[in-house]
Amino acid sequence: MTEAEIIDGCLAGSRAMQKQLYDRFAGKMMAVCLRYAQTTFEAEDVLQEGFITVFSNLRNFRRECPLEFWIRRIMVNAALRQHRRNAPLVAVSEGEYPEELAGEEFTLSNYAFEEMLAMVQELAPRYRMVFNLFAIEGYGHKEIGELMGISEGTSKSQYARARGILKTKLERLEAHRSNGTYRK
Amino acid sequence: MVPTANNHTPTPEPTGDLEQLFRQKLGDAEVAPRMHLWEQIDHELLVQQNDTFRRRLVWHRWVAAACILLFLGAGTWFSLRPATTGEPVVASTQSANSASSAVDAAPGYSLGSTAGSESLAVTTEPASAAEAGGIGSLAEIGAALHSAIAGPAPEEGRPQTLAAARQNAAVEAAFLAANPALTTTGYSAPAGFDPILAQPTGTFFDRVVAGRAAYSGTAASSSAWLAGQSGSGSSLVSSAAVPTILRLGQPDTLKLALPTAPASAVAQAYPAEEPQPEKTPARPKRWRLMGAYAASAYNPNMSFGSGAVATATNSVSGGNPGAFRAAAAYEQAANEYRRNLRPGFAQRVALVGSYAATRRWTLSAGVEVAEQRATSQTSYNFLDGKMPVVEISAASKDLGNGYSLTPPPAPQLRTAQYRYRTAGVPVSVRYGSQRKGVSLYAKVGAAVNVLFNSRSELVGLPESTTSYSLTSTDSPYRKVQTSVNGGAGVRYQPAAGQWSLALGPMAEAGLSTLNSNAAQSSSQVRPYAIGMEASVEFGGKQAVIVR
Repeated sequence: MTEAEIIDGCLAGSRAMQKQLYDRFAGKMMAVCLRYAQTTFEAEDVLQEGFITVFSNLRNFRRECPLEFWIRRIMVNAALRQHRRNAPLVAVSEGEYPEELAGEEFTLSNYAFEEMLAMVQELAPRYRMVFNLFAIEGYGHKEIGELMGISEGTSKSQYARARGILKTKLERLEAHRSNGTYRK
Repeated sequence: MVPTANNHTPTPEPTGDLEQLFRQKLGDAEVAPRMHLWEQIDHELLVQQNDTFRRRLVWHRWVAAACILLFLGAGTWFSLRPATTGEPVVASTQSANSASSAVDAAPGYSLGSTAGSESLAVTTEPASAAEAGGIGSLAEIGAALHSAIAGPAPEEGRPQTLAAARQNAAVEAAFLAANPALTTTGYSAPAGFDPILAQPTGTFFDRVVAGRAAYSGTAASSSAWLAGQSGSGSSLVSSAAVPTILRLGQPDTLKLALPTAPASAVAQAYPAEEPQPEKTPARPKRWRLMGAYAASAYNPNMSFGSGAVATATNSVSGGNPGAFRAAAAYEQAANEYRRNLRPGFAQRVALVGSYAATRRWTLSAGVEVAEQRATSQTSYNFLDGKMPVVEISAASKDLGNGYSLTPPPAPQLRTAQYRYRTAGVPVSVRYGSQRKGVSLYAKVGAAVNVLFNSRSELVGLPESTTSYSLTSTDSPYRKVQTSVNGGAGVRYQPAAGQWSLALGPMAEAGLSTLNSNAAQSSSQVRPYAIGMEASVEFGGKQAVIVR
C-alpha cells in the first residue's frame, strides 16, 4: 500500500489505515523518541503524543516532503514539549565553547546501537536535546536556540560539553574493549 | 609448489568523527515500541473524536434553536404587523390617477376644478331654481359651495368624491364638446367669465369675488358665475356667499372652472356611468397550510464498533484476558452488525404553516411525526449496541475448557429489526413560482426531532425485544436529533383552485449520530434518507380589492 493511499485512508477516518501508518513508522519514531527521552516510558509518552498530533493534523500535511520527515519533525517537537514540561526554567550561563571541535576518528563498526543510545540517554536533558538536534537532526545552533529558548552561544557551549562527555565515554569504551576495564 | 604471497590487503574499516558515528548508529535506527501502545493511541483518538462530536452537537443545537427562534420571530412580526398598506390608500391613489386621466381628457380642468364642478353638478338644479328668484334656494347654493370648498373631505369619503368628480368632469367635457352652442346660448355665463375678470363690473363684492376666483379656484369662480347669472339683482346672494368663500378658499389653480351642464341634459346625452368596483392586480394570500407525506429509504448508519475498545483496553491493561476476549467478540459483532445493516422503509407526515415572504420565497414551519425502520443481521445476537452476556460467557467457556475437539457450530444469522419514532419541528425555505398550473420548486430545510420511541428485536427471539421511550435512561440512542433536508419537484395548482399539489424527490441527512456512543469517522455514522415527498397546500387564493 502506498503512502498516499494510507494518508487518504487516514483522512477518510479509517482506523485501519491509521493503524497501517502507525505500524509503518512506529519503529523509526520510537528510536527518535528514545534519543530524546531518558527512559523507555518517557519515550513512549512522547511517541503517543506525537502520533496523536500526526493524526489530528494530517490534513495540514501538504505532501511536499516525504511523510517520514514530517512525522519525525512532529516527534521532535513533541520531545521538546516534553522537555519543557519536565525541565524547570533554569537560567543557563552561556559559558565558553571552542570555535573548532577536535576531529577524532572512530571506527564505526566498533560501537553498537544500544551502547550509543545509553550514552546519549545518560546526558543531562539540556545536553541531550542540543546534541540530538545538532548532531543527528542537523539543526543549526541558531535554530536550536529558538526552539529551546536559549541563546545561540548557549547552544554551542552545551553542545561542546555534551560532545566532550560523549567523547570521553567513547574513549573509555574503547579502552575497555582493549583491556577489559570499562567504567562509565 | 611454491606458496604464493597473499596480495589480498585487508580493507580498512570505515571511520568517522563523533557526529558521523552517532548519526550513523542512531539516525536511522528502529526500535519496536510495546505492543499495547497502539491501543492507547486508539483510545486517545476515540476520546478526541467524542469530544469533537460533543462540541459539534452543542453547536448544532444552538443553530437549530436559533433557526426556530428566527422563524417564530419573523412569523410573529409578519402576523402582528399592522395592515397599513390596505385598500383605502390604494383606492385614493387610483382615484387620483383617474382624476389625472380626466384632466388629460379635458385639459381645461384641474383637480380642484373637477371637485368644484361636482358640487356644481349637485347644485345645478337648485341654481336653476334660484334663477327663478328664490332667495332660499340661493342660500342653499351658497351652502353647497361652502361644502365644495370647505377643505379636504374625510378620508373615507374622498375617493367617492374624487371618482364622482372625475366622472362628472368627463361627462361635462363630452357634453360641452357635443353641444358647443350651449356655451354661447343657454350657457353664456362661462363665456362671460373672462370679461368679468378682465374688466370687473358690477358691485364691489362681485369684483372681489371675481378677483378671488381667479386665484382660489372653482368654488369662487362658480360664485362669480352665479353672480354673473343673477346680475345685479342677485348680487345679494353672491355677497352672502362671499365671506365663506373668502375665508375658506383654497387656491390650487389659476384656471377657471367651467360650469356644469344640467344633470338632466347630461343624462339625456350620455347615460351616467355608475361607479364600478375595480379589481386590482391580484396579490396572493400569504399564509397557507400544507400537509406533507414523505416515503423514503432510511439508513440509520449506526456504528457501535470500537466503542468497546476503549473499555477493553483498560481491562486488557489490567491483565484480564476474559475482558479482552469479550471486547474482541464485541468488536466482531459490531463490525458484523454494521456490515449487514440495511436501509428500511421510513415515512413522515408533516403539518406545516407556510408564509409567502415574496413571490418566489416561502418560509415554512410546523410539526412532523416520522417512523423509520432498518434491519441488520447478527450471529452474536447483537442488538442496540449490546451483546447478551450469555453469548460471551458461553464463548469463553467453549474456548476455555479446551476439552471439546468438535469445531464450533456455524454461526446462525438472525435478523435484527429496528423501528424508530420521532416527532419534531421542521423549518424550511422554498423557492418556486406561485403561478397557476405547473411549476417547479426547490427547498431546503432543517428539523429538530425527538426520538420518543424505539423498538428493536431479533427475529425468532421474542425475549430480545427491547423498547426505549423518551424517559429511558439506558437508551443507546440520542433523544434529540437534528437533520437537514432538501428536495425539488413539480408543483401543480389548478386555475380555479385554492390548493396545490407538489411532488418530488427529497433527501435528508442527520447532523447528529443516531447512537450516542458513535464510533468511526464523523462522515460515516450519520443517518440519511432518500425518497419521495408529496404535499398538498391550501390557501393562496387571489385577494380582491374593491375601491
